Amino acid sequence: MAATQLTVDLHPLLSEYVIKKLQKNRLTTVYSFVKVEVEQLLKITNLPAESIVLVKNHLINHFAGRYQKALSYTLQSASPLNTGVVSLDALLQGGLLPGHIYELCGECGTGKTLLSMTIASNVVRHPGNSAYFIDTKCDFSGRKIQQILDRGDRRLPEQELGHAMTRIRVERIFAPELLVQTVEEIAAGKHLQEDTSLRLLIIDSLPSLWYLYQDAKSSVEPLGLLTKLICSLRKLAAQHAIAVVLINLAVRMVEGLASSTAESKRKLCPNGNYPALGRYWESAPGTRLLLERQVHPGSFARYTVQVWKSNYLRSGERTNIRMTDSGVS
Amino acid sequence: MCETIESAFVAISRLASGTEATYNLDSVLFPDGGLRPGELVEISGESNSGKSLLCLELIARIILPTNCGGLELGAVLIDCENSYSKPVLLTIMEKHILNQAEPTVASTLADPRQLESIQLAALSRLHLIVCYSLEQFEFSLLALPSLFVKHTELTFVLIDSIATFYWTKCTAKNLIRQDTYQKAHCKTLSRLACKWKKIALLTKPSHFGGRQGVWRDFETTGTAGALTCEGSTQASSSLVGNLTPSTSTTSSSVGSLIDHRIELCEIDNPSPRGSGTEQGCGDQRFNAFITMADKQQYVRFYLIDKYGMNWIEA
Repeated sequence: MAATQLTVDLHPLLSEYVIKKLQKNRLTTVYSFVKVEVEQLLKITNLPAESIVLVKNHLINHFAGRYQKALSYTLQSASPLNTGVVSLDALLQGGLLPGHIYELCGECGTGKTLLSMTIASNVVRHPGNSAYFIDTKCDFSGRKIQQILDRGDRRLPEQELGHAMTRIRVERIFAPELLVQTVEEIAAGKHLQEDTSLRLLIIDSLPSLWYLYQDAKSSVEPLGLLTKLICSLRKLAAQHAIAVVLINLAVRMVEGLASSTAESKRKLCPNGNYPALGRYWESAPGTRLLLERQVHPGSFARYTVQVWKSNYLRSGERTNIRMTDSGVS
Repeated sequence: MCETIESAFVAISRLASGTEATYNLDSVLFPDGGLRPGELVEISGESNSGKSLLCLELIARIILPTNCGGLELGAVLIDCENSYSKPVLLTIMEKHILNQAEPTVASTLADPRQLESIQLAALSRLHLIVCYSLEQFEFSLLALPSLFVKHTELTFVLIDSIATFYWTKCTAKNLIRQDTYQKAHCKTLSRLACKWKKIALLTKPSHFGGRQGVWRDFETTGTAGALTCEGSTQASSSLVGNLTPSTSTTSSSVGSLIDHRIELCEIDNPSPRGSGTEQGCGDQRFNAFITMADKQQYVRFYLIDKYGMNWIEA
């Protein structure tokens, strides 16, 4: 991510002449400009000292992080989004918090995609809500959404069902850079529907994009992109009060090799897995839920959701969910 | 609003001088006395060991009034990971107020509005800066001095966390080691803290700034071990030669800037957890290793419950 360049439109006192003189002294970025002492800038630009201080303060305030007093912080006062799965809502103490980033982590076949589709369907039942589903594995199925919405006790009449399905925007993305770009565009207000407000963003799934870097010599670029992605997601979630659900794989540790070297000792979740995408990603989502599937001999499979890590839920709590043809319950 | 008008010179010299006060932030963490202005505290720990929670606990102690066990000072939290949570902070403050209020205040606490007004007054002493990019973070550090001038009761700067934007800085064209990155920021913070007589606390994941493992961090397969053994030679040969890891001297270069260290760690539970039982698991136990500037070391134990951190009496 390149630093911002000094341009004329940043401040009225920064004329073309001033910028050219700064460039001659190798001051091309905003950061390098504000780090230099006022006396030196006086000599370079021939601007009066008060103007230089004015420009500097303006640039610092413009580019610094968003400042607010804790009193006026209103993010977490929005009510949680119901997922539609009663046991999961109880585990989450109400539902998905807007502004929070969740990760569904699990091995293959544990129901992550189905759960995310169930959540999306439930969110769009309400006419004012819309959801954005980013699909990287072509696992999204409109037919499944229809089955979920058409189910049993809370089935929607046909016309409303059609409207609800239009409130889920699905996008297929197959490259990590494009994913980051799309998230930034959503944050800037594009891709949104007119009369509904976006409440939920689902990305299914991250490893299928980042494993494209598997053969790369160094992991610097994928980790840089992951940083960019999580920062854009945090900004999107916080500024627009959107709940974000990411899907990740839980990878099984190969026995013997890792435990021998202390430095690669990873903190494992109780069932012996660790989340994919590296150590940086361990602390990226605010809440990580582990989905597990236990097959008991002689009976059908049991699916559980456990809180692996969270900054507001109690870790280790778990609950059972049922996987059916019409979604999760 | 200021009651008196003074020239800028007088104001700056008033702020920059100041008595050599020690701030008794937390008698559990720092039993031997307090923190002095200009000092840096590093809080490190594994993911989910309670670093952000500890920040909120310390913030509560800083902003609460003195008759409720606090320091009644101001704090600014530079939040890089969206970890600030107002409900959690309010719960922690409520716990502190109820546990440590002086008798005169405690008698009024039957009225919930009294509790609320104490909390609101305390929150007015907390400032938040949310950063979503490395550039915002660097500029926020530059914006701190003007904040110090405007709000003179601001004494503590907390950063959560210092490692968030490392991979933005470390690109293929501009490789930089994690400890070098941290050292640069710690230098800036240390200068800022010494000049303005503030105390800085920063959090970082425990694997950050460590040894060679960082370059092979991004495991793409489950065979973490295989990748560390074989992939490392491949990765390190493609890097510039002077980026070979040092051994024990790695942490000492950053270590000289950091005055106090708190390392949080979960204690491995010997009993199996949650294997088929429907009940909630037992509380996770954690310990904190504290290393003070004068090389004294302490160990403390804590649990995390719904009221925040619960220090266990030894």
